[in-house]
Amino acid sequence: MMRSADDDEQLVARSQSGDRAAFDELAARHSTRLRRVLFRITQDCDAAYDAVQEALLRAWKNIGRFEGRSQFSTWLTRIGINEAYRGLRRPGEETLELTDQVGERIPSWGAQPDEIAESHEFLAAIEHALTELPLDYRSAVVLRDVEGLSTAEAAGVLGIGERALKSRVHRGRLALRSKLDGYFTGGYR
Amino acid sequence: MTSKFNPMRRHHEHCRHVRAQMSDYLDGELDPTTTGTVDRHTRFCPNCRRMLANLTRTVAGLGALRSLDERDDDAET
Repeated sequence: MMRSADDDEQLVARSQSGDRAAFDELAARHSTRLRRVLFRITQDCDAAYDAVQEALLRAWKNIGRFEGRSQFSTWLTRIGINEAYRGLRRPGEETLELTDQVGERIPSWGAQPDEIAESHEFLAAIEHALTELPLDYRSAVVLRDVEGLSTAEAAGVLGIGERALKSRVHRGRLALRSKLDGYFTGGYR
Repeated sequence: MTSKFNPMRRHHEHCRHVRAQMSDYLDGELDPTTTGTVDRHTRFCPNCRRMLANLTRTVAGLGALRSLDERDDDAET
């Protein structure tokens, strides 16, 4: 099945003319990925499911206002994250404390980076480390590094400036790197 | 008499500056001059070199989560 942005554009145009079947096709294409993103951010399966349902409802009601300045999937993700945030604490309340580590010995993670990146144990360790990041940083890292959105797209989804997005991603990555030191030095490889 | 010049402090300030650039470096969003600064510093500073290597693997691992998800999605459809 083809799932290009061009196809989405056609489905969006039909949806904007009131074609419910076209919108259902868009929902079918994007809801699995959206649920996965929202689960990674909320760490709550039920909350993610509910946020997806609400997001699809709002997207259908407001499809006429979608101007196509971003991809449909990006627009839907923004709606979904807003819905997911409703059930959580207000964004911006949690800060990420990072120690400088300058002058400290940074441990080596060893060789064979490709094997490590593909290792299920390592990926499980990253998943776990992600859950420990404060919400704002987790959201930024998930959108930018896991979902592969550009800086501009991820900033747009979160409704923040690119500079703020970059700062959150950088600090989130540093915190993850620090947490993952335990994976390599804790002796459970 | 003590000298005001402290090479270790200066080195640590350089480490701080370089580490602050590492995400932009990995994303290819630095200008050539700053890229060269990061390259030169990490060549000679083992801790910053390890920091950059570990950060590279962290970002690669996050990207690998997406690949894993996509494989799962394909398996479902």
